[in-house]
Amino acid sequence: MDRNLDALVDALPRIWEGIVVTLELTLGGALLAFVFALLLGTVVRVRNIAIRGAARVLIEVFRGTSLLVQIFFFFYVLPLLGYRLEPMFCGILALGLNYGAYGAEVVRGALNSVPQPQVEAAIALNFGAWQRLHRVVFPQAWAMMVPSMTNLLVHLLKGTAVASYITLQDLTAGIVDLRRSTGDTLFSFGIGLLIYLVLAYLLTLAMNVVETRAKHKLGRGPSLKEVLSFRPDDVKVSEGVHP
Amino acid sequence: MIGGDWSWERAYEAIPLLWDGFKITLLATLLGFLIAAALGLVIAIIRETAPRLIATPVRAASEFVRLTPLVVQLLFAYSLLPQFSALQIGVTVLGIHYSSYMAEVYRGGIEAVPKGQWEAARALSLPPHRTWRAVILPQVIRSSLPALGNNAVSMFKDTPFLFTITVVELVSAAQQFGAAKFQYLEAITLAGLFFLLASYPTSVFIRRLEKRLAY
Amino acid sequence: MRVAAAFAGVSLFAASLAGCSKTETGGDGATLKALRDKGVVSVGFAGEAPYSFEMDGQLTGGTIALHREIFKNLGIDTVEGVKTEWGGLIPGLQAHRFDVVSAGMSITPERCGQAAFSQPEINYTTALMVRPGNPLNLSDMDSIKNTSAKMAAMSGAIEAGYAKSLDIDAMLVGTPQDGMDAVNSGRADVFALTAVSLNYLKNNTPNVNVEVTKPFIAVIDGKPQNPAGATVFRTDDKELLDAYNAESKKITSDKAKYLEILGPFGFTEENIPDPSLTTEMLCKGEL
Repeated sequence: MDRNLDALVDALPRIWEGIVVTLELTLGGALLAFVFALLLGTVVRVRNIAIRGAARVLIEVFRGTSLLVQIFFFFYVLPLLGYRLEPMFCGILALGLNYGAYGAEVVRGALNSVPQPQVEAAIALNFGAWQRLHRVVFPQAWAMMVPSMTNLLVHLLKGTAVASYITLQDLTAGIVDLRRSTGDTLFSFGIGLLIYLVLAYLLTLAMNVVETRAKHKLGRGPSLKEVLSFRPDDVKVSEGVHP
Repeated sequence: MIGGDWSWERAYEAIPLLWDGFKITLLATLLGFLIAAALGLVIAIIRETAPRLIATPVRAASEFVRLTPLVVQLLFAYSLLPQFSALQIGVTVLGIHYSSYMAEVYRGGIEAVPKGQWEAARALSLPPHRTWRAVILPQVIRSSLPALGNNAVSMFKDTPFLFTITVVELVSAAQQFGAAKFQYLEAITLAGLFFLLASYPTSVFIRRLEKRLAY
Repeated sequence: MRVAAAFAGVSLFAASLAGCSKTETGGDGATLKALRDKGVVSVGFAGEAPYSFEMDGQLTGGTIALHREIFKNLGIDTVEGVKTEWGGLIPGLQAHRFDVVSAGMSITPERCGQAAFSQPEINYTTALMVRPGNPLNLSDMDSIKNTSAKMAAMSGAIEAGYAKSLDIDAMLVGTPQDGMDAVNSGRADVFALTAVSLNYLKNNTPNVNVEVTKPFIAVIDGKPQNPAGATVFRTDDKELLDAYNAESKKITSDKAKYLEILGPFGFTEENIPDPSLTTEMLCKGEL
């Protein structure tokens, strides 16, 4: 065990660098996915059938092919079509497009499930289409979207684990190296899985904060300060966070 | 054609190898799904019925598996258990990983069963296992079918990760072909097409199934 | 807040577009003058020790040392490495990810169709990594075929080609370390790679229980495969290739100099290329 711990301490710099790479991929991919999801999710509800069709095709293509195929395509094939991409960018692009497509479905579903009377009221009050979306529909849809988005974010984090196969030295690569230098599979992978768990947990916490704020803005839940305070609050306990 | 480097001969040459890989992909998906669906149900039932001493660790283990990357779990099992073949390990880990998602699906299904069903079963003095087997589970499974189907499609799209433990499924077949010919264009594009042609119709089918089953 | 996030996303995307560049086709590739001006030549490598690999974060190895010497003589002071999988070396070269491949890659007719090789720089022999005691008594490719041993080879490497010609169903791995792991864990009975690589791997990895057999030259269809490794260039970079060959010849024809540069990495007299074996012959398959 001591030898293992020594090896772990030696490997810490490389594991830390691996964590940084993993986080870069996760956050970069998540931001791109978010933008992509919002864009496609709203465009796919437009009246114009050509635009709607194009968005639908994009969503289905990126949802229907595997993340790995997309990563390899960007890494191996795109250079042949004229565009050379840095491995990090390949990873972020593939993650962003793939999970963005899934996110688009979430956005679409959430926008659709805003109660119709809300939309009608907005129309009755002479709100323009953009205003309707921006001030009435989206804020309500947003609170509904967050749990599913959190789920996708964790999937994205897990998806970064193939980055070492396109030459990125991420956390998984660090774990494999640790295993090679200690010869102890249980120890190295145990530590690695724990680190991923902690990362997933932190991301989930962050998203829970986002959800609390979103719900509070709609007057549906306690504010962030109340949630984090130590004083017992008399808000209805049933206002839970449903996965 | 694209990029002027596309060679139809190479594409044609790749197809038999890709098809062999695809068969492995389908096999892994099917077996993994069976393991996941069965194990997930067991986990869900344990969570609902077993005493806290058993249910909590089971739940914790399931969450641990759900929140950590499939790739790392695969590499772990592969390194730890050299007695088993890569495919055996791949299918099992895939099944265990997805059982944690299935357990969530079943849990939602169980919670969605109307309270009246439970009360009626109790009124009829049905023992617990009979309640589950004859009343609750059929309803749960019926309402979970679309979600189970979606998870199956997800699993199908996750099988490429098996390449990390040398299982020659579709994507690694494409990669190996590309490495041998020094040209990945045709192999990877065709692999993508294979996926699309398999998963899109299935997703559409599941969506229709969902609409029909909604009551 | 949402607007801020979306804005951040778009700007991150835009910033990372800097990581995306159109590949330079034709003309301004890695000409000698361009490299001299830059002062840097980028080489692709796959981490196969002791040819070209990273140790303690530093790029090192036999071919790396050779290239540092040769390119310095050509007026280019720095050699930078770009790591990739073995199978991605030639595609990466073609995609202009790096200027040359520094991995002692064997010259084969198939590879010659995709890229241009320098004159041979390293003659090597194949060896087999097996379990201690060599339980299956494996000595060469035919013995593998005869005993139906489970063989591992690196994807895209010459030994994978041997397996295919002999109809051996080999397990393909991505890196030399994966091949060693396969034998160490018992998943494969034998891992075939160059003698120099296998010996280096065995001697420099802790916690492994493997043995390396005596080196041999594989014989396929009665023809001995004399593998000779060289540096790989794009077919367009002819001027650079010629300049390189001129410098390289000075080293490969001087035994003392060759051993001075490559000796520290485990290369010996046996690895000095045979002057009668030229790239043209190897590309045609005349071994």
